[in-house]
This record gives sequence, structure tokens and C-alpha cells, in this order.
Amino acid sequence: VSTTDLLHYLPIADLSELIRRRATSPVEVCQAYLDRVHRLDGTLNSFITVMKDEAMEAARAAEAEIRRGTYRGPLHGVPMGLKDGYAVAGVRTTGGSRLLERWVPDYDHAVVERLRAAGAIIIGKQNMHEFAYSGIATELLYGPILNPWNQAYSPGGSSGGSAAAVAAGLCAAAVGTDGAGSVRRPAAPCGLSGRKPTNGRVSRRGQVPAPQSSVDHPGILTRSVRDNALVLQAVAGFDPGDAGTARVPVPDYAAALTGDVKGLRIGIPKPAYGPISREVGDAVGRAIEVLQGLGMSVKQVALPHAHGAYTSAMEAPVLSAEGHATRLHDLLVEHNGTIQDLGPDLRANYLVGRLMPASFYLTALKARQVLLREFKAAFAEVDVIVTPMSPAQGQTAADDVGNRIDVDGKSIEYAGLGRAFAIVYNLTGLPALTVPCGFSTVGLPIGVEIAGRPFDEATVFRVGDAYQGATDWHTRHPSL
Amino acid sequence: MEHAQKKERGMMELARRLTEQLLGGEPDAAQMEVVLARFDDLVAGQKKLHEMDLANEEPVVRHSLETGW
Repeated sequence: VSTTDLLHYLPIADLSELIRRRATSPVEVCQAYLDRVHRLDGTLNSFITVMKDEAMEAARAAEAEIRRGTYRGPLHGVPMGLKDGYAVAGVRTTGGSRLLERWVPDYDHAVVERLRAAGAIIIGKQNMHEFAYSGIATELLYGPILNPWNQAYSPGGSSGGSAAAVAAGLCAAAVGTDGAGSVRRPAAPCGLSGRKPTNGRVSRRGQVPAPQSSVDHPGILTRSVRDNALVLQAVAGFDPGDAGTARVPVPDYAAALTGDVKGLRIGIPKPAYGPISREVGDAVGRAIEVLQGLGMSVKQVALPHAHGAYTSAMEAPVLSAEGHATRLHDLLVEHNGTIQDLGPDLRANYLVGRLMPASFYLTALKARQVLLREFKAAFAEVDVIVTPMSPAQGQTAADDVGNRIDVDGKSIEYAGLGRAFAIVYNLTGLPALTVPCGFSTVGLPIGVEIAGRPFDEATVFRVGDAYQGATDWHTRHPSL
Repeated sequence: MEHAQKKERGMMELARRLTEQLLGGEPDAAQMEVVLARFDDLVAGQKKLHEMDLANEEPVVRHSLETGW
């Protein structure tokens, strides 16, 4: 086995140390990842656009810079992927839609600016559900994405391409968007650490379509919590170009990864956010036991309106009003489109959004205030809340097209209770992280979700990292 | 005409007008079944939210996590 064959699953910290010491070069690393994309992605279909020439040029520039003695930090020379909703100057940015099939922006997304400033190498734009408005990853306009762990299954979405690519070792990390769990939900069945930071922590300037302001977050997909902390460090912080970003200082996330979680308190929501299959419940239960073994305590917290029956009723009008009826409409106008330019799922959602009475949206916003107060009370008693990431693992193509998932023989609607464990943190804006905690009977990873107080990503990282220090689920990779 | 048919026809007409007037083009008739089903889901969701005591709540678009929550 050559050195380049081993590079693709190295933790970012190890890879960057090799680059810093010049034991390998950004050019060698970039070429190794591009070769792997060429070899594997014809099947997985995780990329819409591979930026081979741009990536190699950036890698050569990084190599020259490091040789001159200018080392920018842990992302310098590290190949990363972007969901195709991130505008990149001079590179086709489709948003997963035929509407933008030939659109080439002349500006970079704020996250892309920060990644470039940190020296990261962008190797391509990754497959996604049309404009990120669903998690049904098999109905994609640029073709279905396969889950590298079991190719009969979908990675889910909407950042499904990013999740599949990171899991398959086609890039060191990826950045997606999470408006209703779209980073965390695909991260879980791909065995990844998927992070949605607090609303306002990371800029959304340059997102396509313009963000659904109150629920949309950039998010990060990596193979470990430590990698995730390194990427968030590079992209977090106030941006005057996004009125939604917060002037909250960004701490040193890596410094928070002490492994010491003794005395921290875990909250278990009562009632649970939604139905949980036996195998998911068992895996998450064992994860909580591991955290207890590390010195954390556990107590139930009352969250009466955090159940999916309520949160899906809040989320749907918010997405309809802010996303489908407004942002999507603006995009159609901006690009001289008609609804015929949209895929069938989004075409229907657009019409629903335009027809929905304003009162539905206002009712949902009122309900969100109640939800937020309940979480504030819960977080007075605990430091993190731990739940499954999804009710069950294993969505086949047929499940996705039917928009339903099976929970121990009971079929539930994917866009309803199926997303309950994710959307509650989009509605509240709280930081949340999924980490792998086991495998389902069909060989797909299972995720446990850890959520924290506003802007306290550090504690969530600390708990996730301590868990990964005591387990090895995150070090396993699919056979490809 | 049955209520359901009236509702469907009314929604179809609304969707057609919205599509024509705002963007041009015709909505796909086959899509209207999906539109109606999703609209019904929204109505059911509203009924669920009305179980909550929302009379004195303010509809806040962007709650500030920065300044306290």
C-alpha cells in the first residue's frame, strides 16, 4: 500500500501535520483525493462538479507557500468538498436544480472565502436535493447518490453528496447546509460527525438560494469531532454581509477537547421527540452508558412541545413561507425561471407556499417562542441533551420516493415524524452534533445527537470528542 | 358539487392564477393532487398548534440567541 493510498482517511490533524512537516505535499494529497474521486464517484455520484484544474492549481500554490515558510494552519493544503448550494466564483453552482444548470457566479460564499483564507483546497461541488428543500436523496435531478456503507441505501439529504463523499474518503471534510437536519441526517447513516452550529455562528452570505433566514445554518461533515472543530474554527464568526450572524466571540474549539466530561449533565427529553426503533434506541442507550462511564449524569427534562407532532407543524409553515414562497420565488424571478424549471417535488412545494395563508406562518412563529422557553428551562438543569439522530436507520430508494420510513414495522412520514430529532434544533437555533454510535442490521451507521446551549458549541464538541475517545465507531470506514 | 371537488377546483384556479400572473406558464395538473395533500397537512398542523396556548405570544421571526433567549 502506497502512502497516497492511506491519505484519504487520515484525520485532518494528522494530515495537516504531515503537510506542515513536508512529509507529504498539498499536491500529492490533492491528486490522491482526485484519483479516488475518479475511481469511485462514477458509482456513488456524490459530486456534481469536480474542480480538478482549480484544485490542483490551489494545491500547487499552497505547496509553494508552505515551502516559503508560510503555514496558515490545520486546513492548509487539505482537500474539502462543498455542497453545490455554495457559490464559488467562476465555478458552476447549480443548487441541485436545472434552473441553475449553467449558472456561474462571480462571487464566493462567505464560508468559501474563509476556507480559502485558511488554505483549504476546494476539490468540487457536491450533489444535493434541489435547493436543499428536502431530504429525499434519491429523487435528485443530478442522479441518485449511493450510501458508501450499503449501496442499496440512500445517504439521505439534502447534503447527501457531501456525506457520501466524506464517508468514502473522497475529501477530508465537507460543508453543507442544514435547514431541517440536512447536514446531520445524512451524516448519521454515513457514520460521520455532522455539526449544525448555533444560528448566527456561521455566515450564509452567498448561499443559493438565499437562506431561509430563521432556520437555515451552514453545517460541517467530517469523520471525527476533532476534524469538525478544526473546520468550524476556520469558518465561524460575525460577517457584516450576513445580518443574521452574531457578534459572539469564537472560542478555541480544539482547546475544549479535553476528554474530561466529568460532572456534566445529560438531559433526556420527556416525551421523546418521536418514535424510535429498537436497534436505534439500543445503540443510543449504550452511548449514554458510555458517557455515564466517563462521569456524566443523566436526568429527564420536560419538553412538552418538542415532539415531532408539534415541531413538524411549526416547521412546515416556516419553510413554506420563508423558503418556498419567498426565497425560491425570488430565485425564479432573478433567473427568469418558471415553475416548469423546478423538479416535481419543489414545484408542488412552491405552489403550497404561495397558497398558504399568512396566519399559518404567524401561528408557527408564536409556537416557536413557547418551544424556545421550554428549552431554556431544560438547559437550566442540564448541559447537553442527548437523543437519537433519526428514528430508524436504513432508507432504501423505495422508502425515499415514497417519503416514508419504517420504524419497527410502522411506517411514518419522513417529512413529519421522520425528521423530528433534527428540526427541533433548526426551529430553536441550538447547536447540535451527530456522532456514530453503532450499526443497524443492514450495515448502516447509527447516529446519536448531542445538543447544547446557544453558542456553546464547545461543550457539545467536548462531549462528542470524549465519546469518540472511548469508542471506535468513528474510525471505521466502508469497504469500497 | 361536493365540498371536496369545490375545494379542489378553487385551489386549482388559485394555483393557475398565481403561476400565470407571477411567473408565467401553467401548473402541472397532476401536481395538484400533491399540492392539495400538502395543504391538508398544513391545516392539520395548524390544528395541532392550536392545542398550545398561543394567545399572548408574539410571532417573532428571528429570536435573538445572542442577547438571551
